[in-house]
Amino acid sequence: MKSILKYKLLFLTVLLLPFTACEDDLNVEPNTALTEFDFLNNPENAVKLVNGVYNKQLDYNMYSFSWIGMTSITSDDADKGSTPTDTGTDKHKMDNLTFVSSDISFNDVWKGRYDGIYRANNALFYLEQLTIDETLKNRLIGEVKFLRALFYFDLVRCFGGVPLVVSKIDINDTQTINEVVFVRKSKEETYALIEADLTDAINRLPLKSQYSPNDLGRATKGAAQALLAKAYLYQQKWQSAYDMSGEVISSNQYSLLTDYAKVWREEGENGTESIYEVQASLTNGLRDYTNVQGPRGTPDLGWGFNTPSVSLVNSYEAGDLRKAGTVMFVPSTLWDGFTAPNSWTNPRYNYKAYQSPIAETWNGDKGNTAKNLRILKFSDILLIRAEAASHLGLNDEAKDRVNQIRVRAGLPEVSSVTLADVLNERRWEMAMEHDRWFDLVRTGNALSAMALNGKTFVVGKHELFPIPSDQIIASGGRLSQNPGY
Amino acid sequence: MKILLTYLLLIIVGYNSFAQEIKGTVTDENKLPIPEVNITVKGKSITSKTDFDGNFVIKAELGDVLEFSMIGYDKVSQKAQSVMTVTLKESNQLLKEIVVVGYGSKKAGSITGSVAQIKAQDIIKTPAQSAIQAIQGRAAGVNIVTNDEPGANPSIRIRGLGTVLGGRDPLYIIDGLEASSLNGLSPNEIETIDILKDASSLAIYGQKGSNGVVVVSTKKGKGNKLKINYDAYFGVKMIQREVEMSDAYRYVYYNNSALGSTNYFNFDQPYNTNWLDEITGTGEVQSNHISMSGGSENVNFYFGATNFKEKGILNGTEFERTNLNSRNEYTFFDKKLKINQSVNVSIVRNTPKPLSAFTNAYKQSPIVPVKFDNGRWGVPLRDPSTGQVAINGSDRFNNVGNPAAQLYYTNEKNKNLVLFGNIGAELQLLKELKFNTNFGATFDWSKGYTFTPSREIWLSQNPTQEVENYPESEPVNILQQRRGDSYRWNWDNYFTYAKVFGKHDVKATLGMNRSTSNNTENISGTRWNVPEQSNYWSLDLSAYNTEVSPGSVVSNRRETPLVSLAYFGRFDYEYDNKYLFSASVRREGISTFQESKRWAIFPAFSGGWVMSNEDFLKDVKFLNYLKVRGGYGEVGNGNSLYALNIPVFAADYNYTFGGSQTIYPGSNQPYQVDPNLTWETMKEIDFGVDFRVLNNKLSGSIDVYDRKSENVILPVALPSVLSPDLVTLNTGTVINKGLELSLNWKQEINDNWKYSVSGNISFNKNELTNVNNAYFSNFIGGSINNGQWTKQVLVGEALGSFYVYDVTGIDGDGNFTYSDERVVAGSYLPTYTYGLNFTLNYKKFDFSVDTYGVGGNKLYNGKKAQRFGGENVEYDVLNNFWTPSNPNAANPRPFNEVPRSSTYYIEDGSYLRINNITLGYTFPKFFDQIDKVRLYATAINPFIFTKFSGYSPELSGNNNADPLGSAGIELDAYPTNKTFLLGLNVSF
Repeated sequence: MKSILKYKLLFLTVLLLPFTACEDDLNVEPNTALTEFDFLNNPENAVKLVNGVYNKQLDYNMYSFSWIGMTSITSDDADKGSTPTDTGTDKHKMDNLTFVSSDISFNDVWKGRYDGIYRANNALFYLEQLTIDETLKNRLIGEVKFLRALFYFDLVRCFGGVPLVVSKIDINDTQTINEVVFVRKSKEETYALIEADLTDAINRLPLKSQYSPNDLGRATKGAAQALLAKAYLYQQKWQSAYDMSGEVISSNQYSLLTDYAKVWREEGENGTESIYEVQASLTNGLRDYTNVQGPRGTPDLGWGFNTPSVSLVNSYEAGDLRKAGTVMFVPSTLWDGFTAPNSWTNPRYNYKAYQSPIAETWNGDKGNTAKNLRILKFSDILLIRAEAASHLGLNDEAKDRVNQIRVRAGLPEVSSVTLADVLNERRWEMAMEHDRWFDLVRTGNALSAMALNGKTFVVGKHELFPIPSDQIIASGGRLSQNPGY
Repeated sequence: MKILLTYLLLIIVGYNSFAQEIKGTVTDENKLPIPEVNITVKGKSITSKTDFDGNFVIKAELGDVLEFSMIGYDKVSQKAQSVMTVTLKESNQLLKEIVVVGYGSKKAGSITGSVAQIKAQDIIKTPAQSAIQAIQGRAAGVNIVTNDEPGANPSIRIRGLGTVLGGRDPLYIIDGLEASSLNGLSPNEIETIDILKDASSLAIYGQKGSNGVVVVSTKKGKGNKLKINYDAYFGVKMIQREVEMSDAYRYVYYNNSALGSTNYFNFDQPYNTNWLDEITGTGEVQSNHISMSGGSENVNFYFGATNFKEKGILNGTEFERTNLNSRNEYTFFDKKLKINQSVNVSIVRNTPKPLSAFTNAYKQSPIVPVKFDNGRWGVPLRDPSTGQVAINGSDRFNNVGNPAAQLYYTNEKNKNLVLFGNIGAELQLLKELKFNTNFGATFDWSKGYTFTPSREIWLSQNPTQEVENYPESEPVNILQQRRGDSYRWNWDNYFTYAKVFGKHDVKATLGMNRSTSNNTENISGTRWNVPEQSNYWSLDLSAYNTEVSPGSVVSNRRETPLVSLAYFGRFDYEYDNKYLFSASVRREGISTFQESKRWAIFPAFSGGWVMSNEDFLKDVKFLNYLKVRGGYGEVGNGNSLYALNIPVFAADYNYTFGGSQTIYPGSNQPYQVDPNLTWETMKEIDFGVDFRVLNNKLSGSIDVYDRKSENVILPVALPSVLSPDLVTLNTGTVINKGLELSLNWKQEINDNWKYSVSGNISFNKNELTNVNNAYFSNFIGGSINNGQWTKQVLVGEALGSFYVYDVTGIDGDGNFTYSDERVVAGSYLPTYTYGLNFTLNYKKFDFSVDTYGVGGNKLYNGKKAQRFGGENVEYDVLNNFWTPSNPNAANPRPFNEVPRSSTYYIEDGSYLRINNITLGYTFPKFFDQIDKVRLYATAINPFIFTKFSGYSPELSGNNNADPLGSAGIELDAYPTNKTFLLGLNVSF
């Protein structure tokens, strides 16, 4: 009797053991990503975090279909392209200037840039907490600030004044969010932030030649100066633009390539003319930049959008080498020997976006190509200098710079230039490079140029794109819409 | 002192000497013993119970009146004799049934919550590889959305929409093993399915029960005789409804009008293709099942094997599943220790084809041929000079692929081996105290490959190019090999105390549960250019066999596990088989939330009153059984988007630097988290009445419930500057109020004719009553991926309501005019669901019809709204469309623009589906050994009555049926299937 009782008691205690299961078991370690603690413990992660900010530029909502539609198809340099039945969702509206705030491209571009700003703010926040070499930290902060300024520059050119978020925000901090995320600042305040970021970056960043070869592609002092010069130009701060572009020129870090057509080819990638490019490589490339603009038909190289317009083609001077370097005519034989056949849908395509399947790095994936996106070039700086000079009355300087460009383009030099000449040179030099629309708007020439192209530019409305309606809804109605939308 | 003691002893002994040990057996009318019968000595507080064999021992004096009572039987009083045989007559057949509830079981009559039970014979009637499809229409408040893809799971919703995110499916408990689906189990294995519907029953499962619990009991061996069953069926599968698409003429007319041209496309086209016909055919299904079961006094065993094969309606799809199930039960020490063990193996072989082929067939133009005259695959190319489709046409007029080519070039195979089982023990420690332990686990190993013949695909898209033109730097083919494994387990331990004090029947349960899931790891490798024959498809045979080769991608992903720990207790009290009371509490913690938010307590209590056992109702002749019950319970939900609610840094945000364009690693925090994220709690009050009248011919139950889910956890998109990816938040409060009614009428007209009619209907109203998170209040959803959205969070409306522009008319150009503001346009959630079943037996024939329907729901015809220029249009769009002479048409004039989200695409989603029609014949016994041979013919899903113009009105949507996702929006053109089967059941 007693032994059975003993057994039973023993059983009972054994059975009660599982009840003492550890509450500690609920502390699970993540397997898919690093915790903050582990991440901050490794100083090598500082560079990785900054690389992650650069990575944003490869995404679809940064420079792909939506950006191409808003900056290029809208302008008189390009038409929608592709087949007539394919609207590209809203690209026909971009072409005809009949877009509205609910169109998908605006939301895409807005979200893309703010995602980049989020990454930049995050990087700055964590860079403070990582213990790394001071020089490296200094440079990394400079790179991040350059990128943030680049994102805000895109936003202010498209939408005007926007919410200025410059630090990491706790998602539960409703008050800060309502004041900072959902309130648009003025255009002037936005530019002030861009200038502040770039000025700080200029102080921190090394020159292009001071970087190690492995770091080619990172933001440089020249890049920050070039972007700042451009920002001054857009604000019509002619003297500042003149001076800043002068600094870039006198740094002697850059020079024009001899062959205009090669600037956008793989062999011209990161060349002497390149100030800042989005670095793309096979398997980690610019998403769908090639695909959107690639020739449509058989052989199938893309969707065929953003075709150079007839008005652009007809505007070139005779003998201008830039026409052949910008416009791909169909039918013809391309620079790599590829036959552009009759079985392609459109008569012209953007030659600068052309990715050669036979002569350049290629693996068949049209949506993920190795073509770097040229954001800032030396020729751009020369033209900024010329335009600023023209406004300041320094006509000799303007003429010299323009002639540098013209000679490279196979054209004879000129003895004097007017502002209109400078602007024309800018059009031909930078055609299909996502600047034309902004140039027309900031110089006040949009109405006439678009009328020549058969489109109606509404003054007082079309200078700015509409704030995406989805963003206004998400803000609870706090974000204000631009006039006319 | 001594005298006192002796006195006491005398009294006790004396007392005893007058009392005797009365022995006896209690049996039912069929002479089968009844265990657990309560025996009381009238007037004294002496009680006893019968054991497993119906025997009892009780101390009473001869001549005492002994009362025998048991739920489900009429009470019997008999005078005590030394040896007695008592027969109890069944008062309510069905209440004998044991219903499995959380960590234990109850008799159906003792249930105080809302539970629906479905038994094996009903499951067998609808052969399907998932028993879930067979439940459709049989339980009030249980809504099942089917999925016809071979091998795919349907989804279950119990009592309206409460929560989302990984917790959409209810918890399945298969013999104590927690599982996320019934996929590995053949419907032939199932004995009963008990669906726990209300919070008072579910609370003991805590967060796992937040969407209901489906408890599955599998077949066990019974009795001494060896029993063998063989079930087989064979059938054909076809498309049930098609949406008629335009032919070449209508297509040309529409597209020309949309472009404002008369001859963009030539009306005279060389080809006219019906794409859906080209990619589908008649499917076949076949299943064979054999099982053996039996036992002896101490051992019960069951062994079953099933093989299911399906050739799908989409050309090239194949699916095969083989199940082996083994279940054994052993008893030791005179039944004091019971050990049950089950081991199940499921082997699946699947050759899938991309379902996007259906959508491509919907979109592709009919003027494009399947193949051109020279044998090259058809491509949408138009010759601008003739307006006809031609192989060398330069105008590629749409972006849709050739679905027949897509199917032809998809080479994918997947294999799964799932091993699941459990082992449990029940130990009777003392007469009233027993201990249960149960450990269940599922292991899933998967492997598969995808072979992509890149060059062939390129040639199919460029029909005038030849092999020589194919760029050298592109791969000829790409092979991806995948391997993965995942496991989950749960371990339950609990004590049960059961004692009868006179008329009081008390039971208490106390225990704990520990589980872990989401332990998944996947690894896959890709390489280019392996030899073409399939026996050489391994990565090592790639032509690029070097360490770092082009196109070589290795991906390895391990998921973060989810761990949960809970303690629970329950108290059950029954008085005189009339008054029932039950209370439970569960304290649970899960690993997902941050430390201070992890734990929560879920209480519940419920009561019942078996009114029909009361004296005042005893004489009411027509009333056989009446029980009222009610309860309150709290259940939680802890499922978040991410396994851990902490900020993390993810990899793979790489960027290229350097002259040689090397890729360097980059990191990013893809999303932010709300550290305050905590449990979602669902509080429910439920009242119900169960009754049986008219000699048990009519039975039914009514349930009324009011369910409030607080802090509903949903994925919310924030402004990208705050968090680019979705954030899981506690968003607000959703209530579901409803009524469930089920009725069953059974009648035996005479020896030859027998029939039954049963129906259930449930009404549910879903409403978002409160939003406590600012991001959520401005959240929009229901995107159809072209920039248009269709749903918004609206307080006072059902969650996931459509919010679109109202079409107010047609203007002078033939375009719709819209309201200024959006309007609420209904919700995809049905306001009522119903099922009707009818069975008829005539001699050896049996006939049954099952139907299922929903109403009050609206659907959005998204694929129609996604149309791009150059794609095909539905036939009906050109039936009554605007022309200057027909200004009041139902359809606007042809257009290529992206249309606004509007009421034009909102359609009534009500439907009535004939689930199943079966006619069977049971052969007369020609061999003594053979118990039963039945031959049957079944039509599954032969008709569906609905006004919806799309393919299927059952649309559960993406993201685990996120109400603000694509639930209720038809974006793909997947047709539903109907199946005709011939089958055989043999048992001996």
